[in-house]
Amino acid sequence: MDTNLKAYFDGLVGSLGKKVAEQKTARRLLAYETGRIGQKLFDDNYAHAWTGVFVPFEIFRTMDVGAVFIEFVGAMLAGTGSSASFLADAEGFGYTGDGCAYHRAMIGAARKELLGKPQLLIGATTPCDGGLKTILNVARMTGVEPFTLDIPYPPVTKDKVDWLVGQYGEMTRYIERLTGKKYDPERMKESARLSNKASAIVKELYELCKLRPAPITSDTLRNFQIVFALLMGGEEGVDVAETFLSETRAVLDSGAAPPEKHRLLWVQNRIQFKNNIVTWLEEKYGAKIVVDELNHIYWDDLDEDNPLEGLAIRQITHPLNGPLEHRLAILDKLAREYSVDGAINPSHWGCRQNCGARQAMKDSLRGAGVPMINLDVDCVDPRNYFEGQILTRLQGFMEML
Amino acid sequence: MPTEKNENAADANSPSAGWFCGYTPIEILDAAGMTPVRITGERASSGVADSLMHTNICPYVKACLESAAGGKLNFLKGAVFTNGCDAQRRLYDIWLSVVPSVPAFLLTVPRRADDASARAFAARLAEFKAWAEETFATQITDDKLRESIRAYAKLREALAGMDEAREAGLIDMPGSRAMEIYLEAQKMSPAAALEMAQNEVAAAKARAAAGGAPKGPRLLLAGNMTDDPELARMFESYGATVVSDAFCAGSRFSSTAPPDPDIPPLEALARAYLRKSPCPRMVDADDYASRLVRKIEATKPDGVVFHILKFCDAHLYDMPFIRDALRSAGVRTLIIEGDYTSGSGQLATRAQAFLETI
Repeated sequence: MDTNLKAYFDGLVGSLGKKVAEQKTARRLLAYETGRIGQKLFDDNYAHAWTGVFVPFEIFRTMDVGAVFIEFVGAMLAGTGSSASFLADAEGFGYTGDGCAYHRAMIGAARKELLGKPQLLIGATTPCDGGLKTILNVARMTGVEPFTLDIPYPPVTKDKVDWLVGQYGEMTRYIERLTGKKYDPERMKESARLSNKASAIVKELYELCKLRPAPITSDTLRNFQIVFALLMGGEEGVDVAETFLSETRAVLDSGAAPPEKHRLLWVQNRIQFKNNIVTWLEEKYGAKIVVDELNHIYWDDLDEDNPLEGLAIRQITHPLNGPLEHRLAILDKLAREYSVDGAINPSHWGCRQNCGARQAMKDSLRGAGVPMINLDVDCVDPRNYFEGQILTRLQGFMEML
Repeated sequence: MPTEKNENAADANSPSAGWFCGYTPIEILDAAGMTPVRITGERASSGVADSLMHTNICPYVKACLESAAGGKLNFLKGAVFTNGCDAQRRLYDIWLSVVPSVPAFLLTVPRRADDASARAFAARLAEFKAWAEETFATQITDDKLRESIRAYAKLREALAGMDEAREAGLIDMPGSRAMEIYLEAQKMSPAAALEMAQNEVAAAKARAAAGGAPKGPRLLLAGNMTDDPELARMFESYGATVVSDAFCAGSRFSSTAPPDPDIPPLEALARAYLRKSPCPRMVDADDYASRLVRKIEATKPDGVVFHILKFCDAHLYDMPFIRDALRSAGVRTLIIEGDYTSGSGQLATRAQAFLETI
């Protein structure tokens, strides 16, 4: 993985493309489409952007910008077992080892020019300081001009929405100036329509997961929505959503929903490198992750005639934006609607916004009758991961359930 | 170094409101009749904060939480937090349950300093003002606000003048004393702080007239929320002269330019605060490094000591680049990660070794 990623994405898309043609499964299709997004980072027909995690990808799509969020890179490197060398490189450069490893891996990857050089760097003030700092530091390293979306906190007011919509305008002009790609309001309308269509299907999918037993495994929707966001606003997003829905519905209709003794909520991100936690939970305890915190459509449909306003409201009301109160309410709602028995928070090392909130989340969920365990895992850095210790703690937690 | 220091209690006869982040326009609190008290944390940990937040959260924030949980901030009539960083906004969240008796307000501060951001910030300041009026049962007129703005502008001018005189060797004031003056000034009314600063400068001028200029290697101290004068005192005890600082609670406090008197006061405050000497949280972070280099060029220190509290992403993510900028400026640099406790033997050894190199 120390070489340029173009060959990796080409290979991934090539092999998965064949498999999808043979048999289109939901996870396979999601991986295939994700690989295609990776390919766009090296395709001259697209502008190349590295971005923050919660930015309006629909806008990029309408401007032919191939964009990935920086945490995607860290997760991908961890998933392929190659994050350690990039983390070590960033640390050797002087990057603090106490920070988020998603970001540190990205710095290492940028230093090794793993993804080539971006044309655009678009950060946002949500969800964390580290993500934005990473975008700005990559800008220093590459000489690429960055752009920052400053996301106001809820509650939604007209002046906040107007301010953010104004920033979207600035952002599109920044993209036009640096790449020559044009913003077309008519394409944006179409993108909003497809985004709404995909959201509606995903909502339906999530409704099925509320059934008992849920017609999914713990990994069916692993990292789903956070990656799916990259497909929002395009036909492929609708296709992926429909495939997941039809597959899940088929499981339900056939009566083959995997059995479950315990239903779990996973808080924030999954552990990205290879590990046995989920399998162990399923096999030993019949415990199934039925909902991930970030798999949640919390926003209303975009107004196709005024999509930027809807995107602004979506960003402002993101559960990880602003005071914790909003996020706690969402967690309680998910716990209730999915009838979960317990919650697992990996408490990703270096994630200040999560680690600072973990006791409050635990207290809040406990108030709703749902115990939560904090694992203290670095989700991207396998170097200090000792599975035996984690499983011992989880064992105690599961027995308590 | 002492470990039990907590000097949050302001004038007992004056109602006080707490603040934490340098982007809090404390003029609004002053105009509401409150003494704005910058909260510094409890250095002796009982472990309560660790039970409320993970160990990898800013030690200053946790020290403040420790004070709050120990009931030492109950004298406050209100407290203002910002989204200065992830740790600060979580401090607000946890405060709500730890100190429910002290009303809290979360002020969102933009990270860009352009005109649209200033307008957006002014709108948030209007909300802050409304909260202060309701919480402190008062009315903040434009006249009151302008009066507070003038008072703080005078204070900042005096403190900045003190810094310039120190840097030029015109007054005899150790860096440790300057840090104390800054801290005290941020815990009292602007009028009292001005009088205190002026008296201190006059005494330091007299000392300089009576004796020679300080000797020893000239140091500039920089970093984030380092509020312990003992850090400077330690270097001074080894013969160094701390000529200047670039701390949030130090000289960056006086870097807010006088707000424009010809525009509405909230708008003027918004513009002035967003354009002060920046915290690295701001998007135009290169400005932080370039200002630091300019300060180095102006003060000509023999060495720079960067003291950064651990887990401060805003600073630590930038360190490789700041380190390079300082190297380019040709100045020797010591980078220390602190944990908000006072000194240790290891720190003393590093300080001595550093001084031997310059």
